[in-house]
Amino acid sequence: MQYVPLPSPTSSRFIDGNAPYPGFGAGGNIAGFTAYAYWNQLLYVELGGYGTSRGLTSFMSGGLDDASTTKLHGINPYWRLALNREWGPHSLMLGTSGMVARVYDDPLDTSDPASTHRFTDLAVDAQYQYLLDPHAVTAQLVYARNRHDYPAALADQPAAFFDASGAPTLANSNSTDTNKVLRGKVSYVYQAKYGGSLGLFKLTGTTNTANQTAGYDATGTLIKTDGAASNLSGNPATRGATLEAFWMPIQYLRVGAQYTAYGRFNGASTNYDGFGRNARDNNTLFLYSWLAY
Amino acid sequence: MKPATLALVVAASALATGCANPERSRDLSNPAVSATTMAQQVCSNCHGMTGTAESPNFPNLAAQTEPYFVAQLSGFRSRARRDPPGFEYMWGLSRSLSDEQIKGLAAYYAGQTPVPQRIEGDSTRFEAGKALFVSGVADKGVPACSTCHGAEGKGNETFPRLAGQHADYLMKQLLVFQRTDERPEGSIMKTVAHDLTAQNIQDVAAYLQAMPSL
Repeated sequence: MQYVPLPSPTSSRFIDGNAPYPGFGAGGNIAGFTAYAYWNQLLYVELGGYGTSRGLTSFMSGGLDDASTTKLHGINPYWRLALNREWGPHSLMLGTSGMVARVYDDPLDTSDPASTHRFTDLAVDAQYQYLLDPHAVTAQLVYARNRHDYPAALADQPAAFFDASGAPTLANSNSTDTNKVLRGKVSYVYQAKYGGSLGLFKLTGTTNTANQTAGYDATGTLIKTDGAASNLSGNPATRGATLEAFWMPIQYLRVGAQYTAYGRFNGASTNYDGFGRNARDNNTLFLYSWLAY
Repeated sequence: MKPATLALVVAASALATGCANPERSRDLSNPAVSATTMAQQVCSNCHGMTGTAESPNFPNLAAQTEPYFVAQLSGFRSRARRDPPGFEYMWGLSRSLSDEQIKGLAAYYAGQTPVPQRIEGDSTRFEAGKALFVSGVADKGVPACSTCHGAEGKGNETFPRLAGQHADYLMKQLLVFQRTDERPEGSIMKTVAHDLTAQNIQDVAAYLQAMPSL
């Protein structure tokens, strides 16, 4: 699945670079060392730790100013374990992965470890492939659970918004949010030249008034602070499908079209921002070409 | 230097040393890497550690005759052999191999023991395949395969071993010979395969994959 530049819900998995909703990702500006072993094309084990990129690894966050760099507290463990089995043209991989990351709320103030967000990710995934020229079929399924523990100073705080009459009756913010992502994709490539894929994704999670970016102010007037991605419900629920077709006229050139359709966005299928914007208004057609060398 | 920085430098040097070790190298353009290392570190990904490929996409190489093997790998390197799987995978991989390495790889695979393959098909198919292999098709002038490839299909010099080869691979190659000029070194097969029917090709491929188990 390609990265699609779209307005995105406010929370997502920390280490998920593939979702078409790139919310709170580290964006690849952290530094890590991992060690892996792949034994007999059967068992893959990877263990590692990630930290803030600095000193010798500062090039990992090159081009970003200090305030935009993800700052991690200490060494943050990452692991992956996968079993692979091949028989004839078929192969099946079952895997699991996880990461625990403690991220400073303010990249410019890393003095107090109590000011960190804690992300706990756990994922299971499966992939089946049938590869026999001229056909290549791949089916993938990923289920991931992401728990976000807020620093004490941000938990149980009064909501930034009010009810329709301007009264402060909304619930305080959560101390913890939990998101679940289910994603499946089937792709087919013929003669290593023509291909297509269908992907389905579904994100659900807890409702949190701190995640609202649209609502009523103290005068009972509806306002929004995050443009087209504003969230009235405080719930991240997003689901949809991605359809893609591509052509590789030569081995290192790929031209394609990808359409992403949303059935739900930021917790609602219609009027998710309070200003009449519907999930389907985010549907996107994306034409691309890439060159590999 | 801070201890953490120092540790990083040491780790990076260790990694760099590891990559440069010819005993573990995957560098296909380094003539110092031995054929055995190359076979086990690179070729094994598709053709198996001992030349038996799990996926029918890739031919089994165990006990393949050395002259045939050398001719194929040299053909990929010079781009004379240009059937699609050949150029998709093998052109790039063989580009920088030395003659010495190609000979070494041929010897490595020639010395491996073939593993009996799955028996796929019914007895009617095997009988028909066997008849073609042993006697050819007289009224069409198709010669017996065994004449050149040996009674047990073990191959002989530039005639490749066929016994225990993946049926899918054999069928695709017979079609390459029959319909294209993508394997000029095997032009003799163009004449041989010219009058084979789709049924003939399926029968003989199934029989050869099952050899020597039948």
